Amino acid sequence: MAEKKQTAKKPSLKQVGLSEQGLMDLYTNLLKTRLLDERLRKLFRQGRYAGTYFSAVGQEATTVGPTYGLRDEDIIAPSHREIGASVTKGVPLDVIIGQVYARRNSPDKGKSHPCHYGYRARGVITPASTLAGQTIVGTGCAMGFKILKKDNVVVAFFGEGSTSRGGWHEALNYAGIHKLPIVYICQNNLWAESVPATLQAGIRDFADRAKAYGFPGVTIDGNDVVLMHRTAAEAIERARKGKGPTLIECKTYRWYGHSEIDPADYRQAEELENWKKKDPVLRAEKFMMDLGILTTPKREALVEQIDQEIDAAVQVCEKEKYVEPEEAYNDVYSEDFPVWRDEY
Amino acid sequence: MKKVTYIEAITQALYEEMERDEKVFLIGQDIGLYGGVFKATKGLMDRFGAERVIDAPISEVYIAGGSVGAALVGLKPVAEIQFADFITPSMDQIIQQMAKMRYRTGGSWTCPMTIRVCCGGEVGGGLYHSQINEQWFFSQPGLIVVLPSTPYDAKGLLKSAIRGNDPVIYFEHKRLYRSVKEEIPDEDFTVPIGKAAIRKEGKDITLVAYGLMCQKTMEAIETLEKDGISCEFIDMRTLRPWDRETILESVKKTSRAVLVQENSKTGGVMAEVSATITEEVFDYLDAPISRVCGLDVPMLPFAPPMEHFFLPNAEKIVRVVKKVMEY
Amino acid sequence: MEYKVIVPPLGESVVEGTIVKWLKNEGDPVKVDDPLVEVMTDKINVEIPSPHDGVMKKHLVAPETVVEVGAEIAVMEVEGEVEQARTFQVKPDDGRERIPKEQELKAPPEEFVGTTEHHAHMGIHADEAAIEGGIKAVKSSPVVRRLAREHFIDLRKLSGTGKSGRVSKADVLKYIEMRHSVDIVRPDFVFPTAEPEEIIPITGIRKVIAEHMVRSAFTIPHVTTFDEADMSALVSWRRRNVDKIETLHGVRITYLPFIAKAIIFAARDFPWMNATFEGDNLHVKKYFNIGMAVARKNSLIVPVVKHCEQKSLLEIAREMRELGDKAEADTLKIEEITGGTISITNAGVMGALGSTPIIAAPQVAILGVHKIVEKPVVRDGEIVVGPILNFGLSFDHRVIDGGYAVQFLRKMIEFLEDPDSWLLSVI
Repeated sequence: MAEKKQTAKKPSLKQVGLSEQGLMDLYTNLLKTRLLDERLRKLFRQGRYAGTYFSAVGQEATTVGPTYGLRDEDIIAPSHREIGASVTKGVPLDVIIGQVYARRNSPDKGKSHPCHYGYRARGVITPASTLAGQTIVGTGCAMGFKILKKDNVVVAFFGEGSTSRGGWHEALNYAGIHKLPIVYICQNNLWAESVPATLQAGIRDFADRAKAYGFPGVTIDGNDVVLMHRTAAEAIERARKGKGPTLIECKTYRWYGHSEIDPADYRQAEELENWKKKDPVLRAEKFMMDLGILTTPKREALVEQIDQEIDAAVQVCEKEKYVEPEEAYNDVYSEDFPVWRDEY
Repeated sequence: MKKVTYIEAITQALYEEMERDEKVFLIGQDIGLYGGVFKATKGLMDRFGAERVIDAPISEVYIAGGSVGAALVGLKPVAEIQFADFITPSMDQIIQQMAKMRYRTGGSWTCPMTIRVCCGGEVGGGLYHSQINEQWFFSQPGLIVVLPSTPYDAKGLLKSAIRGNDPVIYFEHKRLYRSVKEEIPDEDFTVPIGKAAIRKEGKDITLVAYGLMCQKTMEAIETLEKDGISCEFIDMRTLRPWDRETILESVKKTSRAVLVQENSKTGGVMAEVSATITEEVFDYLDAPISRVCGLDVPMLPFAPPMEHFFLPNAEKIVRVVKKVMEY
Repeated sequence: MEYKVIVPPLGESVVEGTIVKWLKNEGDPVKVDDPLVEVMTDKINVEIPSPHDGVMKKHLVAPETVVEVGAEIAVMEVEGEVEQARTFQVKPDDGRERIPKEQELKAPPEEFVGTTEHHAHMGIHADEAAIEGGIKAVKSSPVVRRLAREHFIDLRKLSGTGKSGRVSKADVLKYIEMRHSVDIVRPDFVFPTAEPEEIIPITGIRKVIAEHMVRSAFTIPHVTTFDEADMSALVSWRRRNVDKIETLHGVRITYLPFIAKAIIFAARDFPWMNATFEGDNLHVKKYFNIGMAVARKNSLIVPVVKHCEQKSLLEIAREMRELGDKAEADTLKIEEITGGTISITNAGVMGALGSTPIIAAPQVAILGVHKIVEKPVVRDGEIVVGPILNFGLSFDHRVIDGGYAVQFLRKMIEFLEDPDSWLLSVI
């Protein structure tokens, strides 16, 4: 297992554990996540959809790295800032944007909320807003895989704030007892909405919590996508082999507010500026350019291609209609139990 | 046909469903090695092993939420909450995950599963081993809630719950575990969810109850019939979705109703039944609808005189029915 | 085209904001995503980016103005056709077509149960003012009020047995039952005192029939009730005797004379069925002139067998045959087709299993008789095959209550199913 507080060393392709194409794919997912996220922010400001938006800009590497390389049947148990996991798991862009737009093509048929990305065909559980909720349910999925004797794994994402919840501890405790095939990714972005991590726990490194449950915990640089991928891949392999869970704490930072209507004025400007210098996308680009895999023209071509993909998907969702209001009656139960309809 | 107790019927249902479908598994506290604190799961770990009869840590949040997860990947979980009193930590998972999974995912993710909840008073269990909190779940769209009163229904409803496509809160009343016995068929059978049972036909008044209160109501009816009051008695069996048609048709016939509920009156199941009767068949009523309920105090004070005082019983039901008949 | 810039949704609880400053002046060129205006809310300051390329044409509000979410604040000129911005407010009315409430309310009442004038005339039913007066004056439950209106009862005439004299449902049901017994007056079968009042030229028969039908069908609120008779006993009786009777008496007897007799017996308890409704009066007849519809080449005619209560089965059968022959030959006299008090129509000869016959006004009932068919029936707990005759009884709902007609038909069928109890008295 990678040791605690590891940082990326000067690269060679061999160390990365990925082919040139693999590395390029990893980077493409990272870039796509960034461009899509910034576009969705803009679309919100332009009044193109209702509700609000939870940007993940600044912490994309923590979701893209671990998700890259998973199988379709492996489960993603996300929270609300895991757009990168959906992108990397291969969820079509018009499905992701459809969720935000709450149109007919949204997997939840407009019932939940923007940013509650889910997609059954790629094993992404549509999240609830109750934090640590999917960590608990995801642990249940891992229990299921174990009972079914399948070699699938679950990757559960949550922030450092969620680790204060009782249910989170019950889930990790259970996973430890039964050595369940699950990897816990704690995205420590230092702020749980407006409450700093220092008011969230009496420990500095949230990975320390794993000790209590009898499985390894590591703290790593969450803005290094290659390190994120390598560390998670190792933990996933361990889980697949029946050796139990791992808790990976990744230090990272969200650039914008909790949601689009949060000015994030509880933070110091310098803190943000320092973290912007550690931009995971720029770092990945530099890393790949150092390796000679990426060039500026190649990057520009890639940006253009992704922008076109996003344009096309946005167009699809702009044209899509809302569901009929009576859709509200559907999906409460299976067809065995139609909901009572009062006439007013 | 064999005579079995209510709890034996539950054990049989679990055993037979686990034999029938290897995706069925059990999780709960003390259910494995010990066979359950009331012995509902006795012998099941020996037969099906520790992978399918899981002794859980004291983690009600996980027992509920983990079962939801297992259902998402295709298993048929049957979780046990040892006492309804201890279900409160699970509420987050039951309400936010189990009840809403199908809805919030637009039907793409579903969690057909069963949580068995051991509930009810008149067992000297005191304030923390006597509760019945069916009304919390009764008011939650997305959940099925059942509460059988006979061994036949206990077995048939549990099988329907396990085989069904929806999440079910299956309440079982511990006072009934060993106090009721009846002959049930040897062959496989189920009891449909959503259908009440007319236990007795009559023309003067409709009595509605569920769970332990069915016993109390039947006892009251014996006295009432002797006094010439012809009672129709409906056992709700399924609380959500409840059988409106059967109850409304009965009240249309008799024009009077008394509703019996073990739990406190305020916000209870019978408040909903009463309101619906008034909304739907007001023109058929000949007297105000009356309820006989537990006291509006925390359930259930321990000292025997207070426990007795809290609970509805045959005498209270007889008195209320007579008052309604005299109206 | 002109594109209207609106205040976008600024968060779940935010309903308004303040324009801080315009970042594009009127006439400035605008590129997509360029910030147009800064808006301040109590949660956040936002710069609203332009969704399109174009020119800022006009500011609609000045800085420091408070604007609601969704308000138009500027107009841009953009190239080509673009969609206007949306505000996502769920309107209380989504604009889809619905049935107006008033129209729903105008729907006719489910059941028409007779005119109060008529009931008042009969001397036992209350008028509307008395019914509503009773409801106001007496403490009553919903079901009692409902019964009072349905059965034309002045609640003040009842003595309540409920708490402090309240009239209960049981009290009302008892009163209705008692009133029915007042209704029932046994006819004592006397000859009519008057001949038919109307003389119609014989040449006019067809015209009269046509007018009659139209008038009946469109002035009488018809209701038809259905019931089945197990004809086993009668079928076997007829099978045993029909040939013998024909040899002895020269008449091949059908089921219709039996049915005529059953009507007469049943009408002892339900006399209103054998009546005519003229003006405001119901003439309850104490004799039975039974119309028996006969199909002719192109029309249907209803010759009347007079005083069936006086005649034997054989006499009825013989007369029916004679009237049928006359109908066939078009030689019926006026008095042979008028003066009916109740009618039977036999669609069974054509093979029909059910029909809703039209009443011959001013009569109030007509009985449709259909084909006898083999059907499963339960006898002594066993399912066996039995001959079943389906009856359709149409009645004038202005004067006959549904329950009354249903009970009459049931009673009649009980007689048919048990002929041994009465056959000897009518042969």
